[in-house]
Amino acid sequence: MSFEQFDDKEKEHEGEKYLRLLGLGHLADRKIATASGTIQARDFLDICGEHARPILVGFETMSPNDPRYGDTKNALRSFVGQYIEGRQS
Amino acid sequence: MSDNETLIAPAQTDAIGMPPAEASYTYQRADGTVERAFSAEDAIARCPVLGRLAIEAPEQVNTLLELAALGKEKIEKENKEEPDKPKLEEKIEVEQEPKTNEPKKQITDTNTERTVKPEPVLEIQEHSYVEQGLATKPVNTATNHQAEPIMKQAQSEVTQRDVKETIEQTSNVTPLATQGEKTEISPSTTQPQVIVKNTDRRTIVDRPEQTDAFSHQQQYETDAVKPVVAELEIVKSSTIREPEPEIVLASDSNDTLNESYDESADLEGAIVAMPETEPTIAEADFIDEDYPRSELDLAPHELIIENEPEMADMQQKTEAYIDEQLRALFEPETVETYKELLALTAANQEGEPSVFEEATIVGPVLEADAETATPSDFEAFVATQPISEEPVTLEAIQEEANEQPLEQTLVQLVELLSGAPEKAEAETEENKLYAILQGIEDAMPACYIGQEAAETKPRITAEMTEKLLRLLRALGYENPKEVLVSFVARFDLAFLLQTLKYLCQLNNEHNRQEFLAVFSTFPANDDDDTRLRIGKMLFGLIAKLSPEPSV
Repeated sequence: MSFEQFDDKEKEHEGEKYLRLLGLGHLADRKIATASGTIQARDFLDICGEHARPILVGFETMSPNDPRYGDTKNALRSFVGQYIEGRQS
Repeated sequence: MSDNETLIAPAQTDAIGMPPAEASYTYQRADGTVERAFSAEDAIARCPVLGRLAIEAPEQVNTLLELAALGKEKIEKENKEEPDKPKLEEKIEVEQEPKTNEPKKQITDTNTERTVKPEPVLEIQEHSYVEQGLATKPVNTATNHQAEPIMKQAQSEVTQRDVKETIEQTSNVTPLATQGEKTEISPSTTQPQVIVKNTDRRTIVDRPEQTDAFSHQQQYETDAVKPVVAELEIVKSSTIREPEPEIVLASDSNDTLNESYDESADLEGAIVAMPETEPTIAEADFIDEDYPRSELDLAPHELIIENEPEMADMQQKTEAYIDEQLRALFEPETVETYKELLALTAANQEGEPSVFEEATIVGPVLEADAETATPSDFEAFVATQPISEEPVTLEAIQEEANEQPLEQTLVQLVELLSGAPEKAEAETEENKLYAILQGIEDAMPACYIGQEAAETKPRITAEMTEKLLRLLRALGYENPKEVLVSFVARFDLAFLLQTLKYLCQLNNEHNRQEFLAVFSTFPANDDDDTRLRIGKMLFGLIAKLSPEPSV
């Protein structure tokens, strides 16, 4: 797999996957402003990947039957949603 | 997001099962800022997305930390399983590189061709060369970054003449718009290399395989740092905003890093990086002096590890912060117990004799000594214990608790749970006990790390510690801390969690009735002690029930 393929199919999809997981898939195309320029919301992991990614990976593995699942999802959804909404360019 | 100034609620690094040293890591964001964190908690606190979360309940922080730990573990596992898969860091690097339709010209300096083919990293980075039209071959610098610092090896391979020649050769290369350049020295544990890219950053990366820090810029690790924080990386970054720097050369001169950068300043627009001597902290600082921090979009000084004392100081501060957050969440007794249990389990996991092994054991151990009383299955352990003839009550347990070891009390609790009627709505002592057990059950998932049953590792959390202390108080123990620590010291954490799991199952009304049927049946095994005990009990019953012989 070439790097472009990897870049297009896996990296971008990862952020989008988590957005969808949190019910924020509709925000994926939004443009958000960062210190290094404007990026798409689906690339939000570029900005905080080291922080958010483990949590999102962990959340992905969390069982929906876990009593904490709902609250955690709402919290993460709120955080990421606010972040994107607040940085829209 | 920035309007929300409610800081993240306090949480515990230890809650994610990692001692501070192991949890230490440095990370770098794609936007160029460099930060470090001694823990996932710290990382969350610094995260632009998660760092300003308004978290209502402290439990939510713990949940996020648990998820972070699980996620980190999974990411590391995936990275190990798929070593060829580029990391996010590398993906980010290439993504930020400019796309250009300009004709690409290759520059080949035969004097510097010392190419080594590393597997995953090189694959990506070579792509970067092609993409940027810079075919300068990476220089083989070192095979083991820990044994042979990359700077020293590179020093003997490239000369100043190479630098000038390459500058001349590259003078015909069309500059790439507004982009700067990026020089990366990336000595991985297997295939270190020097890489030239055309991006807006210079990078010196010393990346061991297990390091998952995202690094686009200068990163190196000094041996002096390692003893203090094993996995801590030192990251220095400099984002250069010069409009058209375009040449990256390697030098084998004996010049220091300082001098190399001086020369680069003389060559307008060109940046000469890759000094081969490992720069000292002071020299590294000098790099930053060349490019004022304010212009380089650097992280604040306090976020960059300068030297060993500072790291130690930072670690102490982090530990103090964690301790402070723990004490804000839990009672002092809980925190102290939790720390003792952590130390105890850590010592057990390392195979060292526990400091608690010789601690005073509260009360006599049941029949067998501690070693023989460590069954692999708590149910089997319960089955070997004598059953009291009279129904066990909570009052009786509370009265006897301080006179007997915890394991005996837990067996009595099993009997209580197995024989208890369905929960009444009234707020009785028993119902409080059931509620505590329910709380323990809720906190149980956090005590196991790993997704698959075979890989789960038991751990203690502050939340579980708190609930256990409440349980022991409810059972009548006056010194629950000592009792709990003693129990874990004599058995182990896994056994404690197994016991709790079993109790929680019994606490479920359905399981409680189910257990009642099972518990009355003695296991048919080859245990002579059990047979003897059953025989004695049967003879006792026969003798007691049989009519007295008439004279």
